[in-house]
Amino acid sequence: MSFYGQSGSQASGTNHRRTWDEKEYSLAAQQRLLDEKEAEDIRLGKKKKDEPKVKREMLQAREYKVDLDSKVGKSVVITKATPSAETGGFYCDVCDCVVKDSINFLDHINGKNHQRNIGMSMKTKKSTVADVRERFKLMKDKKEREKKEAQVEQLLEDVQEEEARMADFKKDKKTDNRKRKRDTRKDEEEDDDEDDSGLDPEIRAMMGFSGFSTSKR
Amino acid sequence: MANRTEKAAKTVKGTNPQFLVEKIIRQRIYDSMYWKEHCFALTAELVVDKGMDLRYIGGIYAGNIKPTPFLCLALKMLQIQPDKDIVLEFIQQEEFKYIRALGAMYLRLTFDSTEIYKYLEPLYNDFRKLRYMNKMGRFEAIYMDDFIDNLLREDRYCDIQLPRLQKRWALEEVDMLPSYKSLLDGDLVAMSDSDSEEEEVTKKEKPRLTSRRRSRSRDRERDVGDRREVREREKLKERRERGDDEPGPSSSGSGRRDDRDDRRRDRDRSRDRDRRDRRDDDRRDKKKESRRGGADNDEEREIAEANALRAKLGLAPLER
Repeated sequence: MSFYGQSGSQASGTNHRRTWDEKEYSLAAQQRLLDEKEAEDIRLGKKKKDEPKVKREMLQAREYKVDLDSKVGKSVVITKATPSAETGGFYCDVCDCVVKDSINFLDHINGKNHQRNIGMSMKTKKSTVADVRERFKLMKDKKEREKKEAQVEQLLEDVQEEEARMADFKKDKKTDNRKRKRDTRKDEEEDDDEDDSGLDPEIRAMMGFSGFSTSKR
Repeated sequence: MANRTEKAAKTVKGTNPQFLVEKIIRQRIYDSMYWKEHCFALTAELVVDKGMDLRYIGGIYAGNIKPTPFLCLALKMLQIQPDKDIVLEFIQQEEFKYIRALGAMYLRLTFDSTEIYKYLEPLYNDFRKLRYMNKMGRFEAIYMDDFIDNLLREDRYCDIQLPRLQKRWALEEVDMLPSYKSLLDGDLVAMSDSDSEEEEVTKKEKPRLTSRRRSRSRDRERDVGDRREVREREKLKERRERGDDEPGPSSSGSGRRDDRDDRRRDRDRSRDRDRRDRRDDDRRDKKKESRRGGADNDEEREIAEANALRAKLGLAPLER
């Protein structure tokens, strides 16, 4: 059997040419046209994107103190291999940028781009009267607590001073006792000397010693 | 972006509320370190925290360069525009005096005339001290009622141009305000009405009179002392005359010696008199004593000279 000799319905006629689905392709063309139109509108600003909006938190004040003074008066060696985070100036790890002076660094971290990278919007929360009253009570309690802590610290200092005085007093007592012991030791030594000096006269006679004087006078 | 006024803020005097602070001063505040570091993204309750840390009030200092934290917080309140109730809460609390001053400043800048008088005049009864930093960067002590009075009277205070305030009598005429009453008026009325207080006043006056009498008696004692001194001087003069009589006719040498002694004594006496004059504080007494002293000195000098001449001539000294 040859390759071109097909069996079945295909072999009967001249239906060997490619056919096109006109309906499908017309729909695709219309869709492409609509997409292009929408892109044009977005570019011109007539229409908004369909992306879901990123919810950013309300702007919050910093609760920490910005470190601006820790490097004053210090020297750092910078080489070609030094990473950009450790070159001179202030480094922002969120935005990966280095700012050379403190005023501009504060401007940067207060700025729009930094806050966007953190995930915050530039709108602040509106406080209510209840919030302010609670804050006043909180501050009052904090003030009283600080006063009490100061009093307690002062009491502790007084107690430590008393303990130091007692320790000094005890040390003085111990030194007095040691002095007494030394005195007793000195007395014993004197007794030994006396014993040594007193030789038995009989032994002296046997050994031939009549005295420690010489014949020359 | 961080310096932008809140969108929901209503206009004050028809414009952006931050424009109440003048352009140059506002720019100084935006450039200051306190504004950049501490005033970023504050809400009204966080202003309470920063207000608690305030230690003084004031405007621009050190040659119109540096703003005080008080001025920065005032501008921040203009930016965030807290509610009216929050501002009244700032004023009515009594724990933190600088927060009360901050609320009073903001109230003066943004409220209308009737409400300003209504809410600020009760603060005249607050007599606590505040530290005010002047242009030279030095502190002055003022009182809270003094601060409130300056807010109500001055055109410009803490380097902020205060909005124009209608006169109180004008508002009273149109019955928008009651007439002013202070606690001191009440105290004065209570004192003048009651009779028992009058008796107390009379009782109080008596010890004053006794103190005056005591002072008068002291003056009398002083006069007595002066008279005694005068008598003593007269006695001394008599003794001198007796001494002069005895050695006179015997010899001229003894006469000379006596003259020298007299001169020395005169010098000593003059010194004593000078000391006494210096010690005395009363001007009248000084004048009187100086006159008396002058007269005595002149007479004695004349007598001494006359006696010297008579001694040279071999005559006896003069008798008084």
